[in-house]
Amino acid sequence: MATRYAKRLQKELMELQVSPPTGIRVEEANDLSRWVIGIDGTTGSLYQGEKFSLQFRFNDGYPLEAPEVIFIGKPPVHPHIYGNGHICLSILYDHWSPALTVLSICLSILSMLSSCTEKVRPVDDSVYVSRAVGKSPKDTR
Amino acid sequence: MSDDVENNHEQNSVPNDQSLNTTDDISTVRRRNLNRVNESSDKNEQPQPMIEEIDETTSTTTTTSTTTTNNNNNNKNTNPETKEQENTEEEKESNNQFECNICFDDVSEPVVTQCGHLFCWSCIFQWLQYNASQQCPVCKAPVTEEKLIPIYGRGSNATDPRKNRSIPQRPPGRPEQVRPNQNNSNRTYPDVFGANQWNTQFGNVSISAGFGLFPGLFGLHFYQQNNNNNNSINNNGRPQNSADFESLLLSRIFFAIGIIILFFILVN
Repeated sequence: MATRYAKRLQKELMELQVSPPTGIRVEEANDLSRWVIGIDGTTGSLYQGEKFSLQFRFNDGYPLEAPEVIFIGKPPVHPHIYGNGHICLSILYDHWSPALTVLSICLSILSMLSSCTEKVRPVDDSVYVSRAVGKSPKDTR
Repeated sequence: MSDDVENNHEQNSVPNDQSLNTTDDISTVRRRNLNRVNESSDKNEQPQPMIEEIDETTSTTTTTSTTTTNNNNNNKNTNPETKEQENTEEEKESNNQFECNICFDDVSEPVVTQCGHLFCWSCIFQWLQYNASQQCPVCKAPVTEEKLIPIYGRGSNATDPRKNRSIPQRPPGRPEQVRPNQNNSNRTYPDVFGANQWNTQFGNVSISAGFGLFPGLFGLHFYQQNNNNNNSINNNGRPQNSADFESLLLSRIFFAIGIIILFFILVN
């Protein structure tokens, strides 16, 4: 990714690798445009003991444009997370701000998981998943 | 996805990314902040860069952090040999407060929003072009290009901002005008007039029209010109500005009453 914001991504990655907060770790970042971040369900929440992987894709628009963030592997069962790993979280789409970071997205998602009171899929899950095959979550809203 | 669901989601997610719900999350954040506080207290001389982060934490964190600070002070006294390392880190850290909130690099062509957040001109310009909401990326306060304030440090930028054709020049600064009140009085009444209070008043009254008909009612402007520039209090012991304002108000009220009386005289 040869944009002038590559430096920012490099900085964010460095901070995440040097001092990762508990429950968040960089699993894969060989290429600056695709990272895999592992998150652990927080203790005391419904997801305690579970591990999830988030895939971040950065295009040239980052950080003016939000990264594409989805769960890969087995996504958590949550009313705002679809079976295909797509996440319904406003800061990833309409409410994105360039002052947000990979870390703040991870914290938001962890917070979203932690505040969950019932492990269910979204009501329109099957409809959405069949409609969103092979598409970016940014194009399916 | 249905609209209902999306609305729910937005309500849930709009609260800050830092607002965590479980105790574990909070403790995570707290720990991080404590680490930061430790760093800053190590450097002791310059705690300013950390103030923002400390503010974000809960009050309990702040109280804990003060105790940590004390501990660190003790450590510092016992380990003077690490001072040099700390100094270099301190320099690094002190630069952090001048990082752009978008590119996370040291600001080039700094501009600051009305809400006080610092950006590179090119970064904030691109964001305002890209995003229709016209909000500050940090605090979501409304931001317009016209209201950005450029910051001029000592020495000029090495690169010419106009080199980049896609990004216009940074908006110019808008210094506040000198207050017109002082300007006018200085220009209209030079020291010759100002030397005598009575003279000044006389000069003023003679300007007003209809003096002969209703001396008490028609625009009797009496500006109490202060002949001593250093003294901001006039003879009545009131500040000059409020006296000006009062006399203006009074003359307007009298003028209105005069018009009304004149109207009644004519009608009857």
